[in-house]
Amino acid sequence: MDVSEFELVQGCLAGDVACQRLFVERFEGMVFGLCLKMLSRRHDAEDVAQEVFLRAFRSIHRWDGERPLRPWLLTIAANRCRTHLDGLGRRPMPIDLQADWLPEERRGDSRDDAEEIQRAIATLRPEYQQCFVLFYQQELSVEEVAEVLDCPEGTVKTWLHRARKEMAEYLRKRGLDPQQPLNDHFHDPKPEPD
Amino acid sequence: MTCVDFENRLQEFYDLRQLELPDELCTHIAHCPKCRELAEHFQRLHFAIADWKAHSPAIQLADVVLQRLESEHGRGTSASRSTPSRLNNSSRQRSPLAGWAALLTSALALAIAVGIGWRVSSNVSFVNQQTSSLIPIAIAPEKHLDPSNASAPTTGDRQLDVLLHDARDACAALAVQAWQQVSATNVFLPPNDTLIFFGSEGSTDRISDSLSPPLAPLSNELREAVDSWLQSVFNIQDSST
Repeated sequence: MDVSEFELVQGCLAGDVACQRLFVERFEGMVFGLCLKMLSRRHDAEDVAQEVFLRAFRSIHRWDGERPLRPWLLTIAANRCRTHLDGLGRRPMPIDLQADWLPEERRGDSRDDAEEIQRAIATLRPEYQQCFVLFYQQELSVEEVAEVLDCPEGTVKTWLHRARKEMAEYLRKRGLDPQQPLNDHFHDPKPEPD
Repeated sequence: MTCVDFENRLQEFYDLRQLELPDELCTHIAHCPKCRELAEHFQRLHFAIADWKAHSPAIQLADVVLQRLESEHGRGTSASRSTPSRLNNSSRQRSPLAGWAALLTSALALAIAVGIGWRVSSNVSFVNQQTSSLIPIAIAPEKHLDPSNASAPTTGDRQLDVLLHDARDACAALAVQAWQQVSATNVFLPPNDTLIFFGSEGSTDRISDSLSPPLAPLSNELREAVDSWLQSVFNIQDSST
């Protein structure tokens, strides 16, 4: 069904169950992906993702029809994840994160890059996590991340830089040293003309 | 290019998702092992990020979300009810009578508060009246004898002044009557300052100074009457201590 975002929202406002279902199905991957990458636990991510959609339906009348739905929904999701992480911050951090978001055949492999990144994300401050996941997992630009997080672009850049540096340091401490020389975009400089 | 510049340009390179490292950065890392190591770690990080990003488990939330949404609408949408545990909490439901009950409770509480306030205010005025009538009993004599308080007489001072004024009048009447009854041979005229002594100035703090001049010798009846009256006056002050 090819329904525009505006029609989708109008249907949701009218209480059309089909539109509500379509709304969830269209954005559930995006919302759940963000929640899972930020929270690391599938169970928590499912709960928060449900909460995100419920909040979206409650406040959908405040959506600005001239702006896309995706950043609006990502804002709700990022805020809910941040709230959840803040709540976790008052409890002891688990020693070993359960990588239940990974396929079973890859669980328990401590050298797995994806799992190491997820572990590294869990060590970051919540604002760095938000920034990192929105930039890399949702592939938003710095400007879009700033809009979602409602902060200046310079702040987003700073958080992103610190997140990268801390994560690179984390990988180095975990023994994930570069296994191959700089390649691809890291090429030899061109000889300077005489 | 300094190492700080290199790191800033490297971050910018990743911010913009560029594909090829600029020549100036490549030139710098060719001569700076420290920055080359940094670039290698960043490259390693981005290989890992690519692997991490590729895993996006499937999810189906529509049924659960719509069920919860329907449950909320069935109970009346409220922003405060969000989690499943809260949704299942039937004690949070509000019946149509709840508003009236709350209104009646508020009115009752207001009436009780007004009643208590009125009662308290009545008691305060009653206590004030009683207190003012009891003030003479609570007077400390040294307070009235203290010259420093003469400029600001208290309620107790004024009460004592009235008492002494009445006593002076009574004493004068008694003296005149005694003077008319006794024989002239046994009586010395009272000194002129006798009446002055009994508070003609209207201030109680002069009592101690006025005690030094003795009374002029009078007849026994008059002397006993004056002594009795003085005794009664100073007994009042002694009892208050």
